This record gives sequence, C-alpha cells and structure tokens, in this order.
Amino acid sequence: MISDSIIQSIQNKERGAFKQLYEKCIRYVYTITRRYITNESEIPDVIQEIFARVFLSIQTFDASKGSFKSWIRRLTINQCFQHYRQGKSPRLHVALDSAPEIEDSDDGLEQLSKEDIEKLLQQMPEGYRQIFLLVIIDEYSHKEVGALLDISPETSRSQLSRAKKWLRNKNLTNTSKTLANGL
Amino acid sequence: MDSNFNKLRKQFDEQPDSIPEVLNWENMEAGIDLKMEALKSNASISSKKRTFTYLGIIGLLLLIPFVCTQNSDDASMPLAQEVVQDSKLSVEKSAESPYPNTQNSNSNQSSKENSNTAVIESEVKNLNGVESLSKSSNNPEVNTTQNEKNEDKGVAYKKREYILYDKNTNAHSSDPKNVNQLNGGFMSEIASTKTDALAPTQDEKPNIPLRNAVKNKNQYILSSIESIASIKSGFPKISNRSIKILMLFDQFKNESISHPISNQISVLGGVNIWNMGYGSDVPEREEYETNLISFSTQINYKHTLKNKYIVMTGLHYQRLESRFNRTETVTDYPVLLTDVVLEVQSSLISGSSREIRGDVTLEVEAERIVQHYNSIQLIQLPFALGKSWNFGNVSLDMYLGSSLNIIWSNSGKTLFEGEIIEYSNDNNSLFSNSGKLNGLIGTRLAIPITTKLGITSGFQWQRSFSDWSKTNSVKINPQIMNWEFGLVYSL
Repeated sequence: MISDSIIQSIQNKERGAFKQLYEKCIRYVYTITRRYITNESEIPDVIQEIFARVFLSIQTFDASKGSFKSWIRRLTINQCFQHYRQGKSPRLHVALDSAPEIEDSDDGLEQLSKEDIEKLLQQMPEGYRQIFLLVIIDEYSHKEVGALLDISPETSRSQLSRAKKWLRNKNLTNTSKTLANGL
Repeated sequence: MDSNFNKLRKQFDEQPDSIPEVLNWENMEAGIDLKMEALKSNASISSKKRTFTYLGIIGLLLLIPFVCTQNSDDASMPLAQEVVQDSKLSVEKSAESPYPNTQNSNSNQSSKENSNTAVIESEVKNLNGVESLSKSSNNPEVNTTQNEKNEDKGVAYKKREYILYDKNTNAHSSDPKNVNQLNGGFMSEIASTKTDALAPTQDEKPNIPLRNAVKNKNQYILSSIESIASIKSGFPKISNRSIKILMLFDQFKNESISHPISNQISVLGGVNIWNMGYGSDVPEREEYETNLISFSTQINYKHTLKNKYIVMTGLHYQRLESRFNRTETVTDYPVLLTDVVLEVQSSLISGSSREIRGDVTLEVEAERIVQHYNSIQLIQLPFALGKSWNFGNVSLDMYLGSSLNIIWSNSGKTLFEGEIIEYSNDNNSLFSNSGKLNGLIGTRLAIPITTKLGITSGFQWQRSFSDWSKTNSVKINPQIMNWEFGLVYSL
C-alpha cells in the first residue's frame, strides 16, 4: 500500500510525501471513519486528527510487525473513539445488560448483504452497533473492545450476542413486512 | 472467531469511488498542520510532566532513607561522635606509649599536691587532629566534670568535660574573656586530665558544655577528651589488661561505625510476580493466560564508591511462568460409533428378524479444553548505580539501572489469530526477548551476622524498555517484581 520511500520522505518532512500518503490512504480512512462517526459534518475534523497522528508517528510503524494497512486501521479506529472520549461527539450510550446472553448463533446473518446490514446498522442502538462493527467487521477481540470502550470482555461478548439477536429479529420483521407488502 | 463474516468484512472494506470534496488534500492540509502543531506541543508538555514525575519519585525514594538516616543520626550523633573522636585519640596515644596520660595525670596530681597552681604541659590535639604543644602558666586548674553516666561510674566510654579554672581568680574558662587570659587565645584540646579531686565541686562552679563553645568560638581553650589515662585515673582499679581489651573493642567499634559498608558479593533467591505489560491493544490470548508467581535467583557484586555511592552488577536468572487455559465449544466434533444397529429386517413369513450393523459417524457438540504451562526463562546482566545508608549495623541500598537479557528460553501454547499455536525459541511469531533491555529500580537491606557474612533481602522492579511484540497491533513491555532473600559476603 505504501512504499518505504514514502515513509522515509515523511520522516524527512517532505511536503510532497505528505500529500502522496494522504491521497493514497484517504479513501480507506474515510471508509473506516464513516462507520464509526455517524455525523458526516464531524468526519473532516476526525480525519485531520488521524492524518496528523499518522504523519507524526509514522516512525513507530514497523513493517516487520504487520502491514501499513492494519496499522492505519487501528490508528483510525482508536482516533474515532478518542473523538468520542474528548466529547466532540455525544458519548455513545452502550445499553449494557448485566445478564449474559447465552444464545449466540450467526444463523442467517452471514447471508445478509452489505446494503442490508448497513440499513439495519443505521437503526441499531449505538452500543450494539459499535461492538458489532469492532468485533465482526474490524476483528477486534473482546478484550480489545473492553479496553477501548472501558467495559469488561464479558460485557462485550454479551452485547455482541444481543446485537446479533437484534439484527436477526429486525431482519425477520423487515422480511415479513416485505412479504406482506408483496401480498 | 466469526469467520462466517469474512464476506461481509470484505464488503465493508470496499472503498468508495469518490470522496466528498471537503476531504481533498487542498482543503485538509491547513487543518492537518494545525493539528500536528497541537499534538507536538501536547506531547512535549506530557513528556516534560512524565519526566518530572519520574524524577520526583526517584528523588523522593532517595530522600526518604536520607531523611531517616539524618533523624537517626541526630539522635545518636552526640554519643557516637564523642566515642569516635575520643577513642581515636586514645588509640593514637596508646600507639606511642600505652598510657602516657596516666603519667601526665599523675604528675599533675602530684604537682597539685605540692602547689595550689597546676601547670599543664602536654601534647595536645585539637578536634581536627592538628597536633601542637600547649603550655599554660596562668595557673589554670582543670575542672573535671562528668556526665550522669560517668558519675555512676557505669561506662567508661561516656564523655567527660573539662573546664579550665583559674583557682586564684575564679575565672571560668567558658567565659571568652577569661579563656583568652588563660592561654592567650590558643585553641587546643588538651589531651590530659586531672582527677576530680583537683577540681572545685559542682556546686561552686557550674558545668558548661564546652563542646558547644568550641563550635561557636574556635579561639577558646577547650578540652573534651576521653583518654585511657582518664579512665585509669577515674577508675584506678581497672587493670592494664582491661584497658587493652577496652581499646581493642573501641577500635573495632570505631571501624564498624566508620566503615560499615564494603564491597560485597551476594547470592539471593526468591519469588517474582510478573505480567506481559500489554499496552492498550490487548491481544486475544491474554484472556486465556494467567501469570503465575515464579522463581528468580541472582548473584551480584556491589562496589562501594566515595560517599557510599554504589555500583552493582551480576547475573540474574528469571523464570516467568503462566498457565494457558482455554475452553471452547466445538459444534461439529466427529464421533465414530461402531457396530451400531442400522436396520432390523423382519420376515413376515417366518417371523424371524435380522439386524444390520455398521459404523456411523456423528457430529456432536463437544468441549475442547487446552491447558498448558508456559515458561519464559531469562538470564540477565544487571548494572545499577545507587547509594547506601547505614542504620546502625543494618545497611540499606537503593539503586537504579538496567538489565540486559543475555540468554533466553521460551516455550508455551497460546491463541493467535483464533488458532491455538505452540511457540518456542525457534518458532515464535508472537514475541522476542532476545537482547532486550529492561529498566530496574530496587532496594536491599543487609544485616551482618559476622564480620564478613550477613543476611540480605531485597525488592526489585523491572520493566522492559524494548517492545517484545512482533505484531504491530500489540505492545509487550513486561514488568517483573522480585522479592528475594540471601546471603552477603563482605570482601
């Protein structure tokens, strides 16, 4: 995704390299950012913060430890949650239920298309949505989610289970409505 | 874990063909620059804060024992100093002649018997050890007084105070004017004594702590000496042999006070509590790993520099153990059932029945339990600088430094990318501890049993400066807390 020469040039503070890196990464960063920042007007501010951090901390990137793509992905997600923590966006309320959710099946969910999931995610409670995106889409472990959202891994696991259940129920309701409309 | 969603993940990662115009570089550049400046200044402030915090903590740690030592010294200093100074003189005197001052004292005593005036001629030493000769011809008389303990004649090593006293004029040597008259402003400490019999009673002439006067006015004649002669004159029944023993004891005591710390070799062993020191991005495997209290041992050498600063080095063996314990539910675990009745065939005519048997494979829900004891073994080369304090015979060291992993051995099982994997020195995609550097801070107490041997106990905390992790998403800076006991040998 990014060549060593660009990274080297950024470390040498060459303006041209900044632009080059930005233009190579912006679409990817934007894709991730808009998953977590639902308010479109806040996205430019968050992206500016992300790239400022990328340019400043690029020397900490070690290619032998992983790809640049996964590094920038982590940084982007962390920054999105940092944005919430700084109160720039209303703090998302995670509707936490203490009782663990036993039922956890992916029946039917994996069959949903991106568009279906996106539509459903728009209606999903924020707490469920964050954990669903972090675990299912961005492959965070429950421990990592716990550290990021300041909740226990068990709570994260339980919330994910509820999020999946919510999606299934919502999908069934929508399907029923579609069928009813068709009839 | 949730591998069913791979397709969905790919879809979500699909990038849009175009982005909003507001996100073009030209529109964002200025904002990014501003953010970079803000981040730089924040980082600089937080870095300074962190540095000052660390320095403050280290300073406090170093200051606490120092303050304690000062308090301890304040309480014991008057006696300790006096013993040291007085006995130094005793020993030096005794090196030339076993009991010179006894003769002196006796001669003074005899001269006193012949005359009301006393002439003191003796070798004198001031408090700094400068030798000079003092001859006082103004008929001063030495007024010998003792503190409570000496009055009780319990211990011969308590301080005595001598006040020059002019019998004719009743001038008291603690009065600066009179003192000048007495010996013309020559400052010295007289290494001779007179017996109590020669002095006026305490009722007549009050005692004044002349040692304090020495500190205030250096030009006055003052004497405050404990000598073997005074012991003998004060306690005439003490034999020469007893005095020799007392001198040897005194010499030993002085040496132990003056030089309580020496270069030492110590061997210690004990327990450690440790953790992998994961950063904010905690790996999935951490859920299934439990760090166990482990074992450590070390041999090290302590070299004492000027002002009790110390240098420490040696070899430190650390064994870091953890238990990996993972239970997972497997929904499609294959179970082979052999010799199962598959079908029963019955004959309607004969009424007989026949069983058809065979093997059947079923997929059942099962629980998979994986337990393993992981171990990381390190041999480290520590190097630390510190300071030593003395509380009586107990010495306290505090030190700060680093240790280098010079030999390492890793083996274990863990979870990595959803799979249970085994790792070892040769095959470890998770972390590497080869040649990594750790910061260390520690403290140690040593109590002597004999002149050479002592017992010691210490506490040490280490944190890796270097990141052990081989993956970008995880940081590993292990921390180890050691608590060890052992023996120390003074070289």
